[in-house]
Amino acid sequence: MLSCKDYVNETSKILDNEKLPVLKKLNILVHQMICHHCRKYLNQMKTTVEVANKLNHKTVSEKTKEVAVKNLKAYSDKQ
Amino acid sequence: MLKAVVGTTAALNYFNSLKVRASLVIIFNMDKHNYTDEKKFIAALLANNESAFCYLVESMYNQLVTVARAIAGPSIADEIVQESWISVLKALPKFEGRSTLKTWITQIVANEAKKRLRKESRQVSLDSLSADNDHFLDRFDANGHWARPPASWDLSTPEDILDEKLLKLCIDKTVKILPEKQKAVFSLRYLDDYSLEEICNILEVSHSNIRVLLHRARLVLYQTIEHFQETGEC
Repeated sequence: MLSCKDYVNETSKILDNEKLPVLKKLNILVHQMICHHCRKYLNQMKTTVEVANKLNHKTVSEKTKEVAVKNLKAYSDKQ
Repeated sequence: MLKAVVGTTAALNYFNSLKVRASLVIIFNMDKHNYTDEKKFIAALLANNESAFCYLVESMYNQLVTVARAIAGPSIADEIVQESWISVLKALPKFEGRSTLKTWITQIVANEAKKRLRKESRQVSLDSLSADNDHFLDRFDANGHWARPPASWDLSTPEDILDEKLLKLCIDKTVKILPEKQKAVFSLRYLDDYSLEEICNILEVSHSNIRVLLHRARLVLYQTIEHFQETGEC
């Protein structure tokens, strides 16, 4: 029987779309059915992953862009 | 009759002003070319198109510097990336399309970072996993049950969470200060959409270590959101 701590570790594999053995999947499912704390944790972690998927890189600074483009142009002008 | 003329003139003036505005938009947006077609993008880069260079840097710089930081450390990461642009342009004629251009460029930068690491004999090990972020284990008692179970969240959807400005700032800060290895894996997975296998290849880290790093990064983000939901603070 899975503990809640084990459940948290195992659900990480589910979030990463890992293929799990049937017995393990069953253990996870059974624990989920009986433990409302862990059900809540899984739903909140799924929301966290959805938040992560919606994040973007910050904008590149003008100075960084300028240096990079200058180097690229300098190289290409020599060819 | 006069009203009709005035009306027509006003309409014409309005239409003309629209045309002028449209032309201005076209002129100002000429640099904002979106190179979604990879073949056209490569052709533009090879043709020394400046807007293609800009697009390359804008779309990839942050991802590449994250990878360089994880491999070679933060102090030389920016330098590695800036030097890598030339390596990319040099090797571009030989790009065979076996992976996406984005993955290919990321691999070039990863290789440059590893080369630089070896050259400077730096000791940054990507594969070692320190026990950072293991505070979450304190949430469980000795029997593995929740000692401090999750509380309900008022902001329960991703949209609600990201619309909350202060929380969004907390989230951005959390990601920014993740340990470099976790940040690289988290970033490549969620911001840049790489598969775990691709991340393993880029960073040369085992699959199981990638999974641990990702799990820890997710837990840190989860705890940031949870803490804000409980206290209204980062």
